[in-house]
Amino acid sequence: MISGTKFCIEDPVFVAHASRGLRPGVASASELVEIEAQCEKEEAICVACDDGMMVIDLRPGPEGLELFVWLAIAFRHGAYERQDAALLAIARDLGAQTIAFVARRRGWARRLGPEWHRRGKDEFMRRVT
Amino acid sequence: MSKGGSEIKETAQQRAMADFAVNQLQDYTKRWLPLQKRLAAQTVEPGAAGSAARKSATGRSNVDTQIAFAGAGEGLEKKLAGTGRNLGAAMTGMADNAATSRGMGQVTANQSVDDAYTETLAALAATGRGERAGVGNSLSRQAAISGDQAAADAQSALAKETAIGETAGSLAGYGLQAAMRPGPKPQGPGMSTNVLGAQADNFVTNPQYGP
Repeated sequence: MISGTKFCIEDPVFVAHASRGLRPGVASASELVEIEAQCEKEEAICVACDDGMMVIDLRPGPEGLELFVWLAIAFRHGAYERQDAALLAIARDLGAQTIAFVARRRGWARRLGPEWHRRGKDEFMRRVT
Repeated sequence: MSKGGSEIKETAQQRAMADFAVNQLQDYTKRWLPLQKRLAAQTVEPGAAGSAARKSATGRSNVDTQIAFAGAGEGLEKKLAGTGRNLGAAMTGMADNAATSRGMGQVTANQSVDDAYTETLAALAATGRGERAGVGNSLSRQAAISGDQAAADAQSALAKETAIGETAGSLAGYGLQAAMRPGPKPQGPGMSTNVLGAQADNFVTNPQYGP
């Protein structure tokens, strides 16, 4: 379990495995293949726990290193609320100053806490405290 | 690609930071994967009968039982009988009581190992991947749990035995995966943030588990 969370590092192939049940249109096959390829190149990490899985990478951000969430799939309801702190812990462990993701669908603004800020049209970011 | 050179070029500093980020990510993976492997091995290996972990758990249970019962009185026996469990109803002496408790401790230790192992296998099946294994740093805890049971009076022992099941259940089920493929490769074309990052909202929009 990484960074004291329930998440474990998964093989890149887990991306395809976990995304089988996704609603059509949420992620195209080519996008998922690309994400998996990024994991294979060790430029992104696939992590998962009972609640869900994420693919994250680390990149230069506006305030230093930024943990970027490429893909997040909940395996059960309430995953985000339960694992938000875990994401923060991982980001902290990686030395990231910020966490960001781009929301393709609406509704995130209501769901996220006040520590999250909108960046651009559909991107959200928060500082790692 | 559009023509006209609208692409913004990275500065040397940005490139260096990007390289650092990749290295940082790989270091992170290398740092945690061995730990995951070790924890998984601790779960899988104890499944074998007579394994060192199983013996260790059972042995510790025995010692704890002897210590716990050294100064115990007859009230303990009554409390044991009062639990409704088939433990001490036929006992008349402390020696018998301790012997039974020791036996129960052994069973508990073994059962906890079995539970963790079984649930590990269930986790394997659940993910559909042969590599996934439940993580249990649980054996030492299971031994401790058996020791606790012996050390406590009958009533608290019963409560702790209940806790054993909960603990074994909570410890199992967290996965470990085989190592990511070694050897960084040259970076290919990057993904479009605006396209792929959007998938993060599956935490909300997954049709099966939406808000």
